[in-house]
Amino acid sequence: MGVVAVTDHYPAAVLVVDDLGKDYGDFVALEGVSLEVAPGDLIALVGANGAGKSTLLRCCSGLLEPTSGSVLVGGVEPGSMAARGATSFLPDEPVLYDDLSVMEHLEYVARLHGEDDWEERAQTLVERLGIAHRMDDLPSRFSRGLRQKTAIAVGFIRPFDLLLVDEPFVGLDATGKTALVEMLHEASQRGAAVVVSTHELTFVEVADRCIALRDGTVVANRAMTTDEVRKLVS
Amino acid sequence: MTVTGQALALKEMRAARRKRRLTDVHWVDALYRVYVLAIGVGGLVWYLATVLGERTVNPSALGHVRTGGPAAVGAAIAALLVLALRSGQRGGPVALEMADVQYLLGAPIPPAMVLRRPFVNVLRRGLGVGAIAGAVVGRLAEPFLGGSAVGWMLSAGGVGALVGLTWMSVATGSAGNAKSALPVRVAVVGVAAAAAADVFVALPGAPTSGLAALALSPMHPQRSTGAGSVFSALITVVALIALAVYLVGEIRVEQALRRARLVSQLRFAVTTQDLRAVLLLRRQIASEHPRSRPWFRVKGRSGASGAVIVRCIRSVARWPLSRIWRLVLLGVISGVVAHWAWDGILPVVAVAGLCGFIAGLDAVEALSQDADHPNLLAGFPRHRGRLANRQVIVPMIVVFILGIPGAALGALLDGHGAPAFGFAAVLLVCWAASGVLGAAINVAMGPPDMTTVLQSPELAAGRSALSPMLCVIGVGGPLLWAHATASGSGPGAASGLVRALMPVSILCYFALTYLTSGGVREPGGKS
Repeated sequence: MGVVAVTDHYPAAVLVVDDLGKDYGDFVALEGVSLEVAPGDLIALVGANGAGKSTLLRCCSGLLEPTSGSVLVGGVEPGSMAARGATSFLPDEPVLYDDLSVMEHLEYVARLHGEDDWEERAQTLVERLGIAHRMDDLPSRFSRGLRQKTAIAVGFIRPFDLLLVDEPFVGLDATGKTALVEMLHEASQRGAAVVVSTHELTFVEVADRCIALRDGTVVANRAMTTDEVRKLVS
Repeated sequence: MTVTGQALALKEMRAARRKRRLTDVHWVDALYRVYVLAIGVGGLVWYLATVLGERTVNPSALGHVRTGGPAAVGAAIAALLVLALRSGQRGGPVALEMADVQYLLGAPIPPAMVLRRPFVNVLRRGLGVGAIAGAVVGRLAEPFLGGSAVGWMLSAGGVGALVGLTWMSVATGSAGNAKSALPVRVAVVGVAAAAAADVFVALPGAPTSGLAALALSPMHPQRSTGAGSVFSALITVVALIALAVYLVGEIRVEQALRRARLVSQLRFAVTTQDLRAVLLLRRQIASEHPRSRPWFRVKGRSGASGAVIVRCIRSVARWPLSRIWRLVLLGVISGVVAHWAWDGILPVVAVAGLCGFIAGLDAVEALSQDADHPNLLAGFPRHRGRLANRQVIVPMIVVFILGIPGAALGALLDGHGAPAFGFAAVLLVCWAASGVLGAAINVAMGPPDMTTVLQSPELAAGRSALSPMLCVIGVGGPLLWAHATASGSGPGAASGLVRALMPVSILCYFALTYLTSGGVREPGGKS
């Protein structure tokens, strides 16, 4: 559903992570992480709690600065203007304004990304996610699940070549989960690189590939079955 | 859509949000805020007028300030700017909403476009706070240094506003990465070096000395406040503000994100007058975490009392270096102001009491942890009050030890040798005891309940002010008694010392009674 801005600019990889390290004081969150994600890839990022999944996604989105190594999005650093235009990041906790309605959020973010024809897509998004009846309400009064759906809509309303999603299934009902999996799949089919951090093993079956993290390092980077993933992350 | 279109979207949405916020504010609420501000400022001005209004000017002190005042005050201003660099390293004063960091700094528009408006708000805050603080300091200075009160408030208030603007600009301009922050850091180091040179070798032209001379103009300082000096000061202020406007877009997103999360919580904690939450959040903003490896290890001891003492020592063993330095600094400030109070500026003794309270809040970490996790206490087969009693012993000793440099400095400044050191030691005991016990009472009482805060903020503020007031009494009482004794207007020397310790004894009695009777919060937050 999200608008894929560019598909043929990145013949090899949209996201290149090379020997990435990130520490918080004396705690090492990531160490020597290297990976590549090509256009159209649908990746499941798995790992136990504290494995470094969120830190990796935040480094790739430009919200955290690497301690060592490098991250490139479309050949440029994550915080740069071009990378910000290409990367849509959905954090694990929905981040929303208290005083804007769902529709106002969608308008604001779409226009900030230069999208003038946002209304029709916004309508489709809220309908697919089952929040059309609440689109003029303030998300600050929503339940966790509805806030999550709003954040997902906001993440998809803007154009992106790289979609980074952190624990998106938490708090979603069955309809929301199904809609989200479909939307992620469609985005990858349209040429966007999609990386989803999740504990939802059913998503592993949909993903093209799994990247498993343990204690801040990549322990597997290939197509895997749910049983393999369960063994790796337990 | 071009960047212009995106800028328009940003402008329109911000305007719409501002309009919505304004319509949400009821006129009664707005009026109430004005009323509270008027009561606060009016009360302060009234207090200063009554306490300081009838003092006589000390001619020798006046001559001293006329000669060295501009350089000394200039050095203090330079020190403030160096502290602003430190604030910049921690992310600076610009605090965005989480959603702004997520969506605005994540959008393909220049960050400066997003950040200039919040920066202007920060400048406005610096201007206001600086002007008020300057005017208050000016009002404080007038009875001692002569001149007209209005003149002092205008000159010091004006310079305070300029210092506030510069402080915010330096903190914002140095919040980027090492490369982008370099120009601001170099400029501030230059300003600080010039201020130091003026103090030690009377080098003219230091910008901060120019500002200081302007602030001291009502007493006609020896250093001329001529056009050159003022021009150099104003050029520096304008240059630093311009540099910050240019560099505001370089603020690091990681820092902005961290601050966005913490500052919103901090504002809420301040609103609810929850000092413990304010302290914890401030530590997080400063990245002040307990050490992974303790300074030293302590073996466990049998018995409940031994276990509590060891638990407290282990807490201290994980203090970060910054906390140790902070307590030493609070001791030094207290030592210096106690000396000033002894010299006759008696009201400043309140600063020493408040420093003791802050040091105490930092020191009673073990007790605070129990208050933070009341359900843990429920599992102990011990009386909570007795546990709490033992938890103040180690903090008192630690605060006493870390206060020694400050007390020694105060005694040295006094220059009366052994008697001064003896009195400083007594005062240090009072400072450590009242600070820790005041903080312990504050922790045990917990924040005022939300109903009181919302319905009667004055009552809630009075309750919150109780424990800091006890600390002020704990230090001020002994000092005032001893001062009265020394000046011959009070009781005899022997009974004077006994009476000097009375406020602290009373404070200790009430604190220990409060804690022993189980004043610490019950599981579930009730006391």
